[in-house]
Amino acid sequence: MDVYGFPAWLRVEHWINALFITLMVRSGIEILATHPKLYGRDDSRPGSEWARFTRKTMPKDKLYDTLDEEESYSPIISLPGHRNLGMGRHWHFFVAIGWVLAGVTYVALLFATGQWRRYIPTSWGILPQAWHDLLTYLSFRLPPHLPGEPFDALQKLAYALVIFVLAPVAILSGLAQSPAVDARFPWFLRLWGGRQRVRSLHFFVLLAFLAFTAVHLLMLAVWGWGRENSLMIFGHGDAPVGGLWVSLVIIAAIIGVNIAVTVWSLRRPRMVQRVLGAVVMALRRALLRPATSHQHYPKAAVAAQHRVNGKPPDSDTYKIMAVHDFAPWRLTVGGLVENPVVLTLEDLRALNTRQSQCVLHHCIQGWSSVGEWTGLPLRDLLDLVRPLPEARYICFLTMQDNGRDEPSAPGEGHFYEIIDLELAHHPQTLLAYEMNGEPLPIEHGAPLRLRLENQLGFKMAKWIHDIEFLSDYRLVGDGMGGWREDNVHFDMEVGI
Amino acid sequence: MARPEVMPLGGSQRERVRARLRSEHTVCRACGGVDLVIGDALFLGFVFHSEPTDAYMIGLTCANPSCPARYTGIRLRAREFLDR
Amino acid sequence: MTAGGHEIGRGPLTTVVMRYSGLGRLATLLEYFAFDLPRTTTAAGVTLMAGLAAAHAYLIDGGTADPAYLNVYRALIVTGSLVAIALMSLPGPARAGWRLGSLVSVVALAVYLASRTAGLPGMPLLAGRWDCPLGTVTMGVAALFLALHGSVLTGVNVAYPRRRDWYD
Ligand SMILES: [Zn+2]
Repeated sequence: MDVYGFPAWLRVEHWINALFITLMVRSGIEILATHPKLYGRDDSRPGSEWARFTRKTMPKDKLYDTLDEEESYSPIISLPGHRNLGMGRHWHFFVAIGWVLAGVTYVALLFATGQWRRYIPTSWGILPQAWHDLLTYLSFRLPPHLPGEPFDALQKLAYALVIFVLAPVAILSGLAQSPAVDARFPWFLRLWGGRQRVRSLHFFVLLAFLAFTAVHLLMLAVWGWGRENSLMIFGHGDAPVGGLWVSLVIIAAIIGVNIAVTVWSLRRPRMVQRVLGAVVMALRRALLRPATSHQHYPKAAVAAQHRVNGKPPDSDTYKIMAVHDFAPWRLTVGGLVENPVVLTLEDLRALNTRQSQCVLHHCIQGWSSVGEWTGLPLRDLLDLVRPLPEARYICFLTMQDNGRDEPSAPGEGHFYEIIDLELAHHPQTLLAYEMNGEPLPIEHGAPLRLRLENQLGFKMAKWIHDIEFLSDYRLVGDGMGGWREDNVHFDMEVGI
Repeated sequence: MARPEVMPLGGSQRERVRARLRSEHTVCRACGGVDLVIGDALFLGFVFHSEPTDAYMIGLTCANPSCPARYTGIRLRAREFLDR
Repeated sequence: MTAGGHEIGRGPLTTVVMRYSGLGRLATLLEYFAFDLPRTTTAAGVTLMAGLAAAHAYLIDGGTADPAYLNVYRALIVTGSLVAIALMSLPGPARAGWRLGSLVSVVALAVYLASRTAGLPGMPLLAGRWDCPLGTVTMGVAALFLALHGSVLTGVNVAYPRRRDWYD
């Protein structure tokens, strides 16, 4: 007789978890699709990947960028599929919040009710028992349950590993990919062996959940699908026929939810962006915005080759500026400021503060790179132009016209990004005009780009020519806070 | 600090660019001045996707001090100005 | 055929088989998976071969009344596995090592399945006896080696001493 039973909270939690896992796996695959390459080193050097899940190859005689490398996977395996990183991220983070809350509740209830004993062994004797169970399974027979418990020893260990090791590793290895967390606590990232190792580990977590699910379903079939589902649905094993049918209904419902959110995301991405974004963004603002970058990577860590996301302005005006080392270029700073200015590159360099920072760059696609950036701290520009009290946001307008310059990005118009004024006060928020000790290269944003070390790369506008201080951003572009937010539904603030 | 992407031209290359400007009667588009100072070259072929793979931009500066737009340029292919 | 987008060689026979067997679709799917882990791949192959060798060595003699030919067969599998391990670890004959490993795996798998279905000469009692952990391990190890070698042949994996020439 099983003394632990299957209390209602445990059954409810189980099925919620099953739904959440399917959504997490599919949205996770969507995120992988945007840069389907896995690396061992943080420079993400082209060609150094240990795994690739793409059929694309890149040209050798033309600059390609990481948008060209994006894959489009089927909605059957990814949420929502068809190359929708923005949607994939919304679902991954939204469900992650629910999954973590459910998981914490579950573990709390396990300990509050004494049910933890069903998973956590209290004697080393479990190991020889588990070995014996393994041999029994390998003999195509079923081992006995532990006395008074719902599982055999091997099952007990497997569940303990999933709940108390795999799930925490999933959460922590996800957090370790947040630029805000890594900027504030560089030691935490080092603990995992670096940004790309932890990304690879997060991928192994995905594989582990898939493997666990496959074995779990196989075991259900072997032990008796109806009876096992009767336990997990009704709390007793006496209704195998009911267990069979209701389990099929629940599985259909899980598939139905997956289809519904996929269709919703593909048809009404803006709505998904607003609804899910509101929840995720609130948490990001509360937890991640205060994270101030404290990164000081050694110069030896600087990547020989820094990947590129976004192609430079393909206009004569820009090319003529570049061949004259940007002497004709002007930076206009205006909007809600006391002292609007127009600056040349010389003026910017001549401003007496000049700051260098050697930091890890996090692209939203998952690749990373270490670079040394030199320029003017944004807060010093603020001192110069003196924002008015009603200024709350800063808009960075660029010379890049996406319709013309970036065939791999859906959308038209000039690239711009808007940040909260609060971020401008962070000590490592920089207007960079140099990279790795040389003038900022064209493909990295010459002559001027933004560095926001606790955010993802796309917020760090390149090829800037105009900076405007705003009280509100809803009337700029489509009103979502930036070109990527408008066109590919990314979030406005991206500490993760 | 010199921009590594920008390549200074040698004497014979500069001469070929000058001959080209002469043969095409190139004048400053802003003020019509004929005195254009030949500057450096920027390789366009790799980073700009619309450009042929051997395209360069040659910087030209109008010598007229009152010109409203002194900085300009001419686009040339490698074989049109580089030494063989 | 490509692996991770990069061309790999394919003979005319393979081309024909791919086109008319419907394997082409599977091949297209496999093209989405490519790994550059030659040492890990070879280490995995070596481990599987070692497992196969150990499982068969364990059964040699052991005081049981097995017919003599069975012990000779087991010794052959052990020797074959060990030779495969040695060849796979050398840069020159690595490919031959993988082929030998696959041959040994196919034989071990076939003999095991035959012993449990038709029965072997002098060992009729084995037929239907699937409840033998070591036998299950043998099947699993042999099947995994064949799958791993298949992944190398299809370009999903590369084995030592080959490397990817990826540049992107
Ligand atoms: Zn002029």
